[in-house]
Amino acid sequence: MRRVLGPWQFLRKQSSYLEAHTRVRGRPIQLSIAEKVPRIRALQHRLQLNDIPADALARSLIDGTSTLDYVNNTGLSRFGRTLLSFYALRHFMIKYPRLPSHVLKHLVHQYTSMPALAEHAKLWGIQPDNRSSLGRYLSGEEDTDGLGFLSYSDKIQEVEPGIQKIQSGSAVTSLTDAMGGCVRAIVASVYAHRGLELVEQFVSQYIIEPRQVDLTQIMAFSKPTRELSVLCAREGMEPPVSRLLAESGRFSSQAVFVAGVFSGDMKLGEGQGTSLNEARTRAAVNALQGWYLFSPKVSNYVDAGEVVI
Amino acid sequence: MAYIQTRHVSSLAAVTAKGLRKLPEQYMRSVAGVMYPGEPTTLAPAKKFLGDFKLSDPLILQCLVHKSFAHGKVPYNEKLAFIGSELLRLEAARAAAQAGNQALPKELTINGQNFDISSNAIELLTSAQVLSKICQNAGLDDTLFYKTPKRDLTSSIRAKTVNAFVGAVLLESGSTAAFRFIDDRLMREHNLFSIAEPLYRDSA
Repeated sequence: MRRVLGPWQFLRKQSSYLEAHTRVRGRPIQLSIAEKVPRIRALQHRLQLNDIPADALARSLIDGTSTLDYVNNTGLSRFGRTLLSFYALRHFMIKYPRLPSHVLKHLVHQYTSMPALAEHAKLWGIQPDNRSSLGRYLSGEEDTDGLGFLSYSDKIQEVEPGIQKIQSGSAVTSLTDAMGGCVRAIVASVYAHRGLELVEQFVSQYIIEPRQVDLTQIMAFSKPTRELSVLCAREGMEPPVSRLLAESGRFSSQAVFVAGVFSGDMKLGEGQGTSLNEARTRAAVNALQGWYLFSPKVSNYVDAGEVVI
Repeated sequence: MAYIQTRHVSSLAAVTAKGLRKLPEQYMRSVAGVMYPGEPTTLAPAKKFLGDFKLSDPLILQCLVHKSFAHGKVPYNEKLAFIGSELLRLEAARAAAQAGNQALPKELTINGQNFDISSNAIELLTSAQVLSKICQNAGLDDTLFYKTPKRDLTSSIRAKTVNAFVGAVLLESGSTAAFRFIDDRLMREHNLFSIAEPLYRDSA
């Protein structure tokens, strides 16, 4: 087993700070027991995690609201969220360095939010078990039988057929949040045993690459023509001018206009619409999308910042 | 008796008029009175803060410029600060997990690391209050370019500057150098923990 060591051994002097703020409850999961759980072995094979100990994966599947008397994934999930946010942000910031900050934030959220991660958990074959300790006792099961399932306390309880009770508080959670939390915890477990470089590969392979988001659909501009004018002024380009490139059926009920927006001789964008104004606006949006979705070949491109209007 | 009606007209000379363009000399000046892009001495405190970590002068200047300055007409530090804050949070959590393993029995750690440290304690390490203190200690206050409605230097602007330096090192020199920058300059030189601990006690 490889230890991941950092250059911060000097921080051991700060152990009083860290000891005072450590919160953990439950007993440890024994490796010998976790290794015999078929669901955990299946998860190891499915995600190519054979080098990750079974007890760490079993712990990743126990939510903070679980009634199992084992250590849970609260801390791991928190750490995993930090890892996921950083790597998702870094991925998109290097790929599209000119994206506005609010679009970047939205994009990172699309990939790392609980509903998005819960979808991954379903694809990975993680199955929930929200039975109470009494329910397990009545079924003649022990805590060890709950290992391998996603253990949590659901905030929606069926009191009787057709009637559901929705609870609130920190002792219960939703299935989506529990699923998302376990994915974050698995990412943290991968980091703990493989280190930063390999966890980046894992995040890229299992979280970022399988999901595709159409960036042109999530970018909206309130004043595109004005924003384009400010952008051209900032970048030292000639002011943008819209020109009509083509038209059809001007006096009919289904007119189509094609407009282009130019800075000097350089064509910045093109758009079409049922009126001259719509075509001009769409051309400006097209030009702005071309600017913001620029993807450089080098990874150390630093953007000056989005346009302020 | 005849009354003579008189009217007194007075006018105030306004510095700017609505609709007219401001002169660059009016808005391209920092609160400390330095004209953008600054004098040769403007970057000196930032270079001292960076230590052995080299960045190009335009990038250092970008780290010192807040989005509020000159209505975003010059490169500013918003996105550098964004990625820098994420990296700083990650490194603080990593450092705490690695160094806090003595706070737990060995069987509760994961590969010798403690992931059960309170989130408040880690968040505070990278909070605006702590980073603002570092910015002040590094003597960067007078070199910042910003404009706020009250012309008051807030902790948020200072914190963004420190985060922006982390982000700039990350994008310019890669993650290994950025982690080393955080460990050497922020954790050792400016000791995040010693600044954070009294703040945590005060907030508790």
